[in-house]
Amino acid sequence: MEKLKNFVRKNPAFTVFFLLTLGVIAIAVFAPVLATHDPYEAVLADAVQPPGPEHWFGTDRMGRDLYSRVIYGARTSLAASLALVCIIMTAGTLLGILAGWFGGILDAVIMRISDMMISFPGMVLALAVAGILGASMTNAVIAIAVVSWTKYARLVRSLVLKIRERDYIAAARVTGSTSSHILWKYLLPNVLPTILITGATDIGSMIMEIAALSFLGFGAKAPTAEWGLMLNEGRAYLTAAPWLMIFPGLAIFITVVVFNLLGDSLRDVLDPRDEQGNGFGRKENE
Amino acid sequence: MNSTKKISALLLSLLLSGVLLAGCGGGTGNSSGGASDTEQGKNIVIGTGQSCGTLDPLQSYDGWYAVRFGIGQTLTKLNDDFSVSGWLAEDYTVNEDNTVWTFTIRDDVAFSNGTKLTAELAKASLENVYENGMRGTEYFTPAAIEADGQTLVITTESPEPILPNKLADPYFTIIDTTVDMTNIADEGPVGTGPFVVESFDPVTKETVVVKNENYWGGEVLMDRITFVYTEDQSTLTMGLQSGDFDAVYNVSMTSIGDFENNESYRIVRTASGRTAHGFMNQNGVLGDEVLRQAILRYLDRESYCENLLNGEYVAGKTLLTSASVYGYDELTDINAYDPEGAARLLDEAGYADIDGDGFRETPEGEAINLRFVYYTGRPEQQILAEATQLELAGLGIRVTLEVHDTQTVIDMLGSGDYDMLCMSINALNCGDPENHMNTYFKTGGSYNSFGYSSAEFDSVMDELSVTADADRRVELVKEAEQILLDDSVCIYYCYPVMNFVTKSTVSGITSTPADFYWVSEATDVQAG
Repeated sequence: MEKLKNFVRKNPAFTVFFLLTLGVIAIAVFAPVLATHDPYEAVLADAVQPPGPEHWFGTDRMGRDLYSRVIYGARTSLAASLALVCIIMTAGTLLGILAGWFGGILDAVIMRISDMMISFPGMVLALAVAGILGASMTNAVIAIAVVSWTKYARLVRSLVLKIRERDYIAAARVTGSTSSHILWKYLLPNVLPTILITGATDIGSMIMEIAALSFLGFGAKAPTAEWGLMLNEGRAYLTAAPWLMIFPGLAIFITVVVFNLLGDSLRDVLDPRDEQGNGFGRKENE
Repeated sequence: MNSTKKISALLLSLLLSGVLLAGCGGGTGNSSGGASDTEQGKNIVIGTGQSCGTLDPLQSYDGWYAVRFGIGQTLTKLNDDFSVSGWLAEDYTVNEDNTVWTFTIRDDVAFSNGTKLTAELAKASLENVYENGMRGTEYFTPAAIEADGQTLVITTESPEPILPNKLADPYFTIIDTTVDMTNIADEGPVGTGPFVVESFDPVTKETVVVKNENYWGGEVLMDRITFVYTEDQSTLTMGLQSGDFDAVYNVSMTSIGDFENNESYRIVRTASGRTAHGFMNQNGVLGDEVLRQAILRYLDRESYCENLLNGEYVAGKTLLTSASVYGYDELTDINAYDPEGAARLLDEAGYADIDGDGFRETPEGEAINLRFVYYTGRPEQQILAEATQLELAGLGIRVTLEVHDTQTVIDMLGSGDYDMLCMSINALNCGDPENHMNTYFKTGGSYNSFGYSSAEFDSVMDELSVTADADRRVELVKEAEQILLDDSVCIYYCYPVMNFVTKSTVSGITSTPADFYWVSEATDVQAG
């Protein structure tokens, strides 16, 4: 308990943003409790109603309760972006370690593929991939994963290159440790904090990218409650019913800000050196 | 180091927000591409959610655009009351049994290349339809076409009482077939209209037409009209508001209010011969009439029109619009709105949710997932598709939406690659529904890809095609409509009211029930 208090006192920003993040996640988890209506129930006679006591955020063009849809949208967006970040973190870290540790042809192949990926604008490539795979939430996640893993791979590779020449690795080698043992016991733990910080800061931008794909019609499909898709649905009503865009837009904004701030403060916690501006987490990232 | 970074970041973000704000100010600038009366002459830009795949009038429904863009004209013209009168033909007569029609071609008409339109060239143009087109015989089958000077005689084997109506369809656009037509798809036909094609981009489908210097009907007021195609309804609306467009075809029901009571804009509204059809492909699970009946009974089309479409549409009941004389009030819809009845039908027929996923399976236990194909080039389509999906989920029928551009959807309609497909079609394209019913519902019709075949319907259509008496024709059409209703063939969602919204400086753009006369020699723009 005392430890926790100390931690909070030392990291007030992180604590606040962590609680806010928990709040966002709680909204997603407890969506059925928080929602006032069934987000998929269309009452045609109530279409495009302005915000009021019955429908807090108004209703959409099919007469569905917008508040409930925004709440349920948190589930879709969070689940997709968390899954996405996990996928690219795992894949990127794995490939980066392989490239950095073994070098040679493996390194060349992985890094050239990654060079190819980053030589295109990410979103355009993601659009192309999503377009080929067909519109669905799973495909949107795959599409963004395909273009986003490179960042982690490059980051991890450079970290590994730096660490592999350290004395403790040499010591491990001398004592006869196998490659897999060294990778698992010494490299991964040293790489992990940086990767976690990058991952946490990435959640926000992944939410944005998934919403963007859905907005453009390559992600979630009607009638899914998804913020990007809801923005697109509200577009035609911009002047007649602005609330159709305001509330999903606000939801995206708030969530992204919360996750970005969490990522930033997480860096302060895990990597205090960064306060001097020389943390490797940032250097490799930019 | 860090502070330099911060300052440069701040400067950069200031610059960015400046750029963003500048973007909002569009419209006021002169670079918008809207109307201008400069040394290059009078130009306007028309935004439309509809365009063609090619400029060849014989492909698909592309002939509509030859007429819409003012490139081509037809022998006869549809009037606003769906009657017909001469256009390139000044007069026409028929023999007693409606088998020999004599058209007198106007003496003063020339194609845009200067060639005089003679009966011989008109004959060649019509023959081209039968040699190179797919749908000619769905209108009529000529036994002989003879030309002598300006006199064109069309002889048919069976009586063709409404031949002048049929010749008003853009499919029969009169073009000069003596020129090289190998690039007609991209370069457009040589027609007699007030405009000629300057450019057509098959990818963006942007079409630019310029004044036909040889126009036979007098001075053409506009120098250039650009037709910009986008199926995005908000782009169309905002383009009109920002000044990028001088006119927009068919502004969405959610936005038209923004232009009402506004002196800067003019709205032309007309009832049309259009019906938003929801085709149900019988070559699949929808081959079961019970399932089709249940779907028809479950969809609350009144509510769509009233609540979702802002009352800009009339709820559909039968194939032909309530604005026509074809029995909207008299026909009996055996599938009138009855949600409980619909569910009962499915229960009794053995459509039940066996696997507990909330959706019914067929009596044989197969999962149902209806592919609903639609396009967004018309504002009501997205709403109708989504409403259908949502409502049918309530009935326990799973629907997956699939959106494509209009041309692709037309192609899919032709090939039958769908379970359900929503398309707004002008059923009175000849001022009379005979051709539409043949094309879409008669056995073997070129767009009847959904497996409907009724000997009873076919025989009524056969009788209709040779019946001259106007009252009898109406009775036969009603009979045919009733057969379609009784066979639960198609969803008739609604009857759209068409509109054209233009800047108040623009005149001479028309929205007509025929829906294929947009611009003419009288189209004009005032410097404003």
